[in-house]
Amino acid sequence: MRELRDDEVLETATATQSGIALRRANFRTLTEALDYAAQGRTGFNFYNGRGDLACALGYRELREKAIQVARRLQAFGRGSRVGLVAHTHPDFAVMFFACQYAGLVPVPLAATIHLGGRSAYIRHLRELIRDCGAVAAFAPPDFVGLLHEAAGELPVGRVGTLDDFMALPALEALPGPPAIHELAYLQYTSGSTRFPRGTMITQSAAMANLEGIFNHGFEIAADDRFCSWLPFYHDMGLVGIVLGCVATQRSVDFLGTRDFAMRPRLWLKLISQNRSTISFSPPFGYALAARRVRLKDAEGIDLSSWRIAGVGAEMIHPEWLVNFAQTLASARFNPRAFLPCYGMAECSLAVSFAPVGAGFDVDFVDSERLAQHNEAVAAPSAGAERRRSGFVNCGKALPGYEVEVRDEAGRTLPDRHCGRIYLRGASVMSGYFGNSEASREVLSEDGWLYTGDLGYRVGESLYLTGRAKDLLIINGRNIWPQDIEHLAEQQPQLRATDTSAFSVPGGEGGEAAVLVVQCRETDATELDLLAERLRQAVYAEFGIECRVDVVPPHTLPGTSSGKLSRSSARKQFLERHGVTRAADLVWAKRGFACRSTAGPVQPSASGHGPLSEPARSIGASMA
Amino acid sequence: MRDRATVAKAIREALDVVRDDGAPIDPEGELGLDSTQAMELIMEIEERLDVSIPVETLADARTFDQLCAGILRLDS
Repeated sequence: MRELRDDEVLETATATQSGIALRRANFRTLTEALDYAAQGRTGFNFYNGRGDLACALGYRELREKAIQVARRLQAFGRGSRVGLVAHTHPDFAVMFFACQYAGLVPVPLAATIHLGGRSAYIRHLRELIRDCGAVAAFAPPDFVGLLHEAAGELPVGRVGTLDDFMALPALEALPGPPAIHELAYLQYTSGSTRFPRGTMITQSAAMANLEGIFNHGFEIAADDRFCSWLPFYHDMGLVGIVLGCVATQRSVDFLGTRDFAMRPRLWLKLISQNRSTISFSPPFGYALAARRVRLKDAEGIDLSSWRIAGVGAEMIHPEWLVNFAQTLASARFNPRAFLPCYGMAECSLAVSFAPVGAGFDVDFVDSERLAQHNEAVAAPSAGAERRRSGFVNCGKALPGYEVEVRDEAGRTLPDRHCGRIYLRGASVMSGYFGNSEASREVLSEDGWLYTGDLGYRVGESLYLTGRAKDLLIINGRNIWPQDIEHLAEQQPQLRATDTSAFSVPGGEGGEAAVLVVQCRETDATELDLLAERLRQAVYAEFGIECRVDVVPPHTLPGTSSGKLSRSSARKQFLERHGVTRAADLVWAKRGFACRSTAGPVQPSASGHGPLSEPARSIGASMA
Repeated sequence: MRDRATVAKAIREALDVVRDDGAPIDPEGELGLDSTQAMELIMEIEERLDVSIPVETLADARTFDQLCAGILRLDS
């Protein structure tokens, strides 16, 4: 088995044309999809941090290797889980499909580490491996040391690289192919590190979604070619690209997520040189590329082949897309290629797509009516006395989905009324692995999934307005407030009801994390130290800057059930500081820690001004 | 073979590019960069020293000194 080396450069990537008849994901299982793709000439191509081709893995070779490994995996027992550190690497693809042929359930594990984040990452890996009860765990060479450390005391039968798994004894016969009701994979939602939730996706759910995407989301063509830097441990990267390309026999050029984050121009360079037609990114990826690509980088880049520039995975800020399109206009990027979509791991991947070739379409509504009455009343023009909010059309749901927008009492709402989005359909998960309580919270007995998202409909079109759940999305990464709060409660001065974490609007449409803690301590120095300790603890654990606000006891608002209300705490925080977004906060000293007294914090006498716009906070975290 | 002074200088220069506040560098304090800045920093260091910094080195580098030591270990 070959290993990627930095200095290794291959001559040719796999062809764009497969040489076999195009099949648009109409297979019953993932192994059937790969069996078919292996008859053609297409495949996966991996590029290194300099943008050179490091490994071309045709589907024929992928299938052969996967079957070889599968012979060595089947002894672990049908249906057992195998953790796979999902670094962008050919061996991940081999292991993933080996699990398919062996009747095992692959579980992609995050491959993201921040500076100095070793212990946080090890803990996270360990939590996931324990949660899914993995019988074996794989990592590519770069990550295997970390994986060994994480799996150390757990009852995992085998931990290692692809070579280590190849060293196991091989059985002659393969087990029977996966049945449609068997699990295709577990996908952990990029959620709480303390309460991991692995969505169970069956073969039929995954295939139903893929068939919907490539026939009705956008119709895939025989000359389409993908380019992607999306992480393999996110639904969009794993399902949409890795599985989607196999299921449609498309070639794809992969750039590592970390390599993209370091050198975003490589993404555009690969699209240009390989004449790629399809590439997806969350909005922040477009923002990062627009910010970091210099004018001279755009020279010699031709993006005119790019017909589907998918946008999804988080709230879409139209100005980020406009900015990207303007920056890359000279590189012949077509703004009509933008294709907004909506989805989540709980539905395999995709729910809805905007119309192809139309770019993004913004619906402007009266902000006041929306805030006060949850009504999305069209406001075609802005008036001096009327503020309006714009929401991107995420299009109509794929065939087979039922969509409902409901109010808090569960009543179905009419058009242009904002509420909670519910879904039902063939690609919805079977539940969260080993967690029937969490499953019941979101999945009703008659199959309706509560998405946790807020939005409204106009005709068949879906518009997302926000999240009902308290999730923070910082730099494109999901962080659960209870994880930050739990961390804060480790401080001796704080109890469980003394902390509240939430996000507030940051700069340029991003979010900023805020932690409010209430404390009996009155000594100013002690309070400053506490705030600084908390800020450092959050940074060490999550790699994000968090504004820490220390307030007197009984400041945090509760709910009728005695729980703290994060939305009220957020509202109170902004009012207390007299701002609407984090970028406008004025802090008592350098850094983000601040201590509240009564009323808005005044600029300190030493003359430190407002915090500069955290323009950098929008970028990629999926490194 | 790189010496400590060369590596330290490269990190300092990279930090200057990435951070815009010009604050003094505390060798033993956390680098305090957000994820995007961290990636930009690594890119700047890699280009200055012509190295590829592996993920394990990043995982252990909370402070300036730790990052410096980690990069020096790559040579050995």
